Amino acid sequence: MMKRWLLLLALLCSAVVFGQDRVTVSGTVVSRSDKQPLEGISVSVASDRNTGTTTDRSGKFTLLVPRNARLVVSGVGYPASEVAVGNRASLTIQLESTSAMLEDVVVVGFGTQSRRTLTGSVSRIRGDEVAQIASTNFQSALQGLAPGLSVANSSGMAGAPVRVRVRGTGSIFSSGDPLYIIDGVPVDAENSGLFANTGRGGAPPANPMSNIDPNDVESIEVLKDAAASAIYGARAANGVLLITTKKGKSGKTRINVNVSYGFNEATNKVDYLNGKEYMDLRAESIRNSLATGITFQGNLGGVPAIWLNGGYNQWFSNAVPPLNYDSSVAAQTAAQNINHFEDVFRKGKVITSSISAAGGNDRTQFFLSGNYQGEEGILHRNDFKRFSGRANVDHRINDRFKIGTQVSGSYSKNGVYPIGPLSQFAGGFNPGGFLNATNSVLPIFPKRNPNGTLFGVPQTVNNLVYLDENLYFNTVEQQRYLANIYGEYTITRGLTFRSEVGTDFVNQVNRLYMNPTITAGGTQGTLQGVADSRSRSSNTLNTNTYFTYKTGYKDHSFDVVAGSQYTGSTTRSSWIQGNLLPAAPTLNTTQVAGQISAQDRLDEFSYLSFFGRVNYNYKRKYLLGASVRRDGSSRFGANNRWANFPSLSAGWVLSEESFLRSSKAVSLLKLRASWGLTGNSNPGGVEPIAYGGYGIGGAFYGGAIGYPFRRVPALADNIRWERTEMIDLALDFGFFRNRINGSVNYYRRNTSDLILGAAPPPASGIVGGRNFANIASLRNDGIELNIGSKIIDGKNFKWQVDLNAAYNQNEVVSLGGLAPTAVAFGVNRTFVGMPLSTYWLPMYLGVDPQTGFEVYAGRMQKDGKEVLDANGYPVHDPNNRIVVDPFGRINGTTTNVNWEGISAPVNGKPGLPVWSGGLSNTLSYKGLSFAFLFTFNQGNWIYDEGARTQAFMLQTYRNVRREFVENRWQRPGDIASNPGVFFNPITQNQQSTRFLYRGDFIRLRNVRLSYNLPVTLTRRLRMDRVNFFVNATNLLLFTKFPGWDPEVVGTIGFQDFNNQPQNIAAGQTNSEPPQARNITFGLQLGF
Amino acid sequence: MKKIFLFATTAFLIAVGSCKKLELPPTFELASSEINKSTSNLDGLINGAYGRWIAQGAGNLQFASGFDHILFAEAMASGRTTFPSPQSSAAAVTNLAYNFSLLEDNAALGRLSRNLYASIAMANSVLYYAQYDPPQDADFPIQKGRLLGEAYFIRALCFFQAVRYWGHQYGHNSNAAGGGIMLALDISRDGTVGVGRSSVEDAYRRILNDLDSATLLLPANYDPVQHAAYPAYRFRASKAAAIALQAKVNFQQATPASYQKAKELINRVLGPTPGAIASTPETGGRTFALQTDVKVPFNAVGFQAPPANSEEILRLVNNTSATQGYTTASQNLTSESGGNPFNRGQARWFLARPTPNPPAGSPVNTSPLFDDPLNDRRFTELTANFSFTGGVGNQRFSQKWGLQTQQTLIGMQSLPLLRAADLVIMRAEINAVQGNLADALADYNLIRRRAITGYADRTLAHPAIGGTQAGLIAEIVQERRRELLFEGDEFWSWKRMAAYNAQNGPVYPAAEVAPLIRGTQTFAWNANRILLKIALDDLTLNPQLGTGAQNPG
Repeated sequence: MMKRWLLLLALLCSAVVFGQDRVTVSGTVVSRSDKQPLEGISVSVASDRNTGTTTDRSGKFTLLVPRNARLVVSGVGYPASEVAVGNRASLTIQLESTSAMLEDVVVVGFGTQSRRTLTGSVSRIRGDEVAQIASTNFQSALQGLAPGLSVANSSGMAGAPVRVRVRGTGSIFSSGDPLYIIDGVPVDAENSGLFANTGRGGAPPANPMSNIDPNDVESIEVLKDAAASAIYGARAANGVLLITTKKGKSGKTRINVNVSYGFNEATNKVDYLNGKEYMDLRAESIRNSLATGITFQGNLGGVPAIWLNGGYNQWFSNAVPPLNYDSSVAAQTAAQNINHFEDVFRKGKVITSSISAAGGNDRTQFFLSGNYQGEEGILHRNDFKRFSGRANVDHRINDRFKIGTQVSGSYSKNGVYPIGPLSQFAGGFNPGGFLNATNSVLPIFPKRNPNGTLFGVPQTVNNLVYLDENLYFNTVEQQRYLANIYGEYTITRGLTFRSEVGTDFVNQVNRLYMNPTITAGGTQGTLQGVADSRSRSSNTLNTNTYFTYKTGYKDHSFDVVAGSQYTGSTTRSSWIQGNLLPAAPTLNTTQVAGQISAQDRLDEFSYLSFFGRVNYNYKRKYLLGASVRRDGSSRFGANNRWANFPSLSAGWVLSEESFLRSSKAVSLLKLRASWGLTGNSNPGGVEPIAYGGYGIGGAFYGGAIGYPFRRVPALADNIRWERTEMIDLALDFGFFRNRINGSVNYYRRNTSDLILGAAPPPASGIVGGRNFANIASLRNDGIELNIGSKIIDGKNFKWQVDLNAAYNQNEVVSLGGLAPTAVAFGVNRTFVGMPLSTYWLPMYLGVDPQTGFEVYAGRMQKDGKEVLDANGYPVHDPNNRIVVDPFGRINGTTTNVNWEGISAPVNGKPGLPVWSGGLSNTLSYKGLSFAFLFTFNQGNWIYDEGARTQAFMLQTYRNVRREFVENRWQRPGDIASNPGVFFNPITQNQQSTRFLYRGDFIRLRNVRLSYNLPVTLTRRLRMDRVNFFVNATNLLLFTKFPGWDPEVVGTIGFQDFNNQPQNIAAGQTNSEPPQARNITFGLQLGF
Repeated sequence: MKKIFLFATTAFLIAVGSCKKLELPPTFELASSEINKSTSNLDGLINGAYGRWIAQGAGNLQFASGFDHILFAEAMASGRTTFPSPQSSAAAVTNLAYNFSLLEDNAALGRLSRNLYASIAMANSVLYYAQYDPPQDADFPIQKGRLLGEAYFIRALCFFQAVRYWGHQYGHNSNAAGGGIMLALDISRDGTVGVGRSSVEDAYRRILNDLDSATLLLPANYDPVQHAAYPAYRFRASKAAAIALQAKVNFQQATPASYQKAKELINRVLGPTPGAIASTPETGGRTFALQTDVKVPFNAVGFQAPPANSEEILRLVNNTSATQGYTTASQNLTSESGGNPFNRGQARWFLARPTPNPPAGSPVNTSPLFDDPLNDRRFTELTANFSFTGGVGNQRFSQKWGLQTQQTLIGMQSLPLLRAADLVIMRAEINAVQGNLADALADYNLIRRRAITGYADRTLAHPAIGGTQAGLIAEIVQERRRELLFEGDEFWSWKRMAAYNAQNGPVYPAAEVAPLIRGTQTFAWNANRILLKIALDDLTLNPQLGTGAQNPG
């Protein structure tokens, strides 16, 4: 009791003492960037944090403080700064927001870090850079914005998926996609084939990331090296994209409204023959064929007598079942040139509108947004619309305890135009999509008969069925809910505990309808229509629980993170398909189907992980970092359930050394190096690699189930993650007060234990699947460079240039003893010592002047034996010329060319780019700003399968690309670049280097002109900001690629046997629709 | 502080507690460790084996089913009595098969091999588990014999198909090492261990041994105690099927002794009296009567069990219901484009045209093969006119695999694998070759009597026969062709007869054993070129084979 009295006395005395020295200070806190008052900013006395207040709506505060006190001013989004009061009674304090300072702070796994002391390789992309590119998904907008981040759009269709790679392709059979984390939650980003529906009816896969609204993105950090990404362990080998959504700031509630309206069109159209040219060429091909004097199946020149006149009506008179055409119309149009491109392409529209409100006080901040985006694609009936909303709320309960949530929901609907040729799909399920629509509906065919019906038979002649939703529709609807709540408790100074629970729910529904008249055989066919409904629901639950401890002692600073993460995901997919439908278009449900089949499946995975990281620096000069993660996963085989993923890194800030500190030229010079181990455990939607057994349901017999053979668990139990060991060496620099800044990186990614498997030999009797094992290895070497420069930084005029470029060289180091044919079969195969996506083709040498036939290279031989290269693979010999007649025989013989026997790996023409990057310029004068971005790819070669099918005169209805007709052989002695045109040559089926093209391109990806109304004017309008802009995306393209678009992703629409065409066949295209050019006008208002 | 540590500890414990979540069992596959846990699982494997024979594989697989075996043999023999569809040049596989030009990297070869050996592997698994690691349920002792018998039957059936594809006709280099097939006899674990090629002799010995075992083990007839729980049994092999297949194998061996053996086996199924069919103890009292309606064996509705006295000794039936399965049944070598028989793509096999070719538009009512085209229902009902404008003119095309209407779509999902008519005409031919001319005539007349309306039995003196043994043999060969038209018999018959002549002098007419002509090339019955190539995958992925194991030519 006595003590209490003494204490009270002492306090009273001290109050008297302090009271004598106190003064009243008033002031205003404003934002440094726009000088707007800030509400809810906490102002307290540095020496006595209990003495404080918060600013009001006008940013004003009044506080009784000791004389000569120092004030600590802080708020959410505004890091604390200290201000000396001195003897001033009134002061204006400018605060710099976190976002403005974000150039110096980057988001890393489970925390943030100062860029200056960062030892890992992290690229940061601002949300506004992403939002300004007109695209339905944010991934597409990342193209060219960060070195080492390669982004390619699968097509120009609205809603099309995107191939994203970080530092090259790091897998063969497994997914090469990075891990996406949104506000701490690892999310489902798999381009879903919707339960193997990819390609069915030609639908490209559904992209769940298209439901994330780019307008909500504050920043995207790309974690590239192991030092940055190893804290995500077994899922980080392909890099990590950390997406942070916008948060509210204390102060005045800000309302932002963005509206824009724009137009779309195709960036390119391939040139085909017109009607007369086509008919003339047809006649020429028949003349040429007859002139060969050689026969096939008893027909001279391979031309059946019935075709001799090359007549137009032959198509129709011989067709079974008879075609739906009006002969009088057909006769009238026989020499016309009808532009069916107009029936395929259109000028589309894009509308976006978003409204957001952000604000709060010192205790609670919020960000609310609602967005709508609607896009009419460049193809008829390809459209996309999305509604989305978000609420991010942070609340400080007291000085120690903070809670918050990020919740978003969205709905999108994507009308899909089919892609790919007929032959890709079993049973003629797809009438041919874009490819056929653009070249099988010949310019001599009218669109409709006089009675309004489509001219010809839809499933064979007329591929314009997509114009009519009574004949065809294919839609993907997606709903996505992302929610995350967190609590953060400051245990003691520097030590915080944070727990996050998040969920990601994605529901996708694909509806496909094909009227019986357009499926193969029409109403007499086997299918007689398709009514197909597929759904996929993926639910991911994630918890992050971790401690963060930041402390320092003298010149030593420590930053420690330790915690655990649990992720569990369940995906249920199901489909129901009806066939034997009535032809009445209104009856397009499976309810009326004569035959129904259905199935569902469940895919689950879970991870339990423990992680830790220590960053240490001495005087912010010598930097060390280490992290470790231990992952347990259901995706690993039972014998390899747990794995460790460590990383080490170090940095040396030379510019802090005495010999550079006083340099006026050098502002920053930092050397850093890292090593680490990450894993890839994402099978990428392939059959679960870890399972084996006797599959159920593969065969039915006599009404009862039959079990086919599959692999056995003995193999699967040993499956483990694919292991990537990465070293990274980098130099970060800044010169002249960082007016020029950037970094140069060298990295090496050695990926080993790649999961690969050969199909068991046929006579093993094992059907389906492969004998998977961790056997192969792959290497990616690369250099990344980015330089930013404020070339002019005047008061009114500013010019900023940013360049980033990345070089990547990929090489398959080992296939674990498997033959290339056992890994992949087709145009692209995998060869040891060569890049992934190496082509395997016969080499086309040109044209034989005497005959006009194609000439190919044989393989190199010596003494009757094949000469093999250093890796043991055959090589082409351009001096060994083989002239091939139109029937695929060695000219002058009846021996068929053994195409496989003259195929060899194509050296030096990889399917993936060697260089890629972007160059952006931003010029501003007062309120006017002009920015443009070029992106480029260099060094890749594209195999254009679509071109192959349009290079010959076929018996069937298919136009010829003009490039194959120019400079063609026409008579003996012609030195030509294109072979003579023969009728229906068998060589049409042969893939060869003739259709391999240089894929280099430079694209003017984005141009933006915007104008901010002067503040004087906006104040009068009672607004904070008024901005008008014009934005043009994909305005120009410089390329020598003659096809639709050099931006190819490896025929994402088609699943090859191992389901990873984007890894193995990254440079193949099958006439996917070209990218869209988009011009948008918009208005941004801030209140 | 305490609360925080308590919370952190709880979170940690929850996390550790979720370890069990890491054990996620597969949800759609039955682990191989489970397969022998019940008798019905083993029965499912047998079902899988039959299923693969009739219709398994994705829609676009080629060489996926029994129909492909038939059509493939038709392609190779075409030109003798049938010729390919006018569409055949559009289908590389059919075309290449016709020209004996399938290269080893042709994917169809891998599929053919994979599909045949899938059934073999399933049979081997049943044999292994049933004998060495059997299910412990009460049903197993009841089913064991049947399961083993069916496994032997399936294996023999597949080996027989395989040896005809990849091995020379029995009798030509039969003992040459490595000239036969991969005789996989063990359970297939992971497919990394293969087997090498046996000789043709060994292959036939194994086939016949397996069929002996099957004959001993298989039940003669339906037994409710044994079969009630397994409805698919209706379409499974019986003792008679094993004997009938054994007869066909012996017949194909083409030696006097094997012919004799075949005849004895036929008698065990049809009874010992030529010209008549009777039940035997081994048919369980069933009589495989030839049906007056010649369409029935090819037009049977999928799930109906065969009538008590039908001619089907074994019919394979696809899939789960009468209206399902056609999509997987027919998307194969046939490139089936629709249920409509007029639209069957490569399945449109045509009977050889009469000379001269009837004018375009007029129906084909005569045939170089059928001697009574007006009354022979095999001509009038199992082939039909089809008119193509232009070069190919009118044709008679097969309706054996395409009679069905749109509503039922049974086409190609019901395959009469073994028919009594085959055995009857086989016995007739053997008797004719052996000089038992009266017996041969009796069976010859039995076949014709059921097929030709108003038929009067022929005698040896009939002008079509000419009063001699040679004439009778020649006529029975023709009759066999008429009866088994479009069922894939022609190619194998040609080889068989040529082999028989090679050993025993000119028993069969020279025209029947003449080389096949393809363009400017001729192919003798024992030419290397007419053997199928072994699939590249088998050569490269099976360490026991290696590229040296490839068929020459």
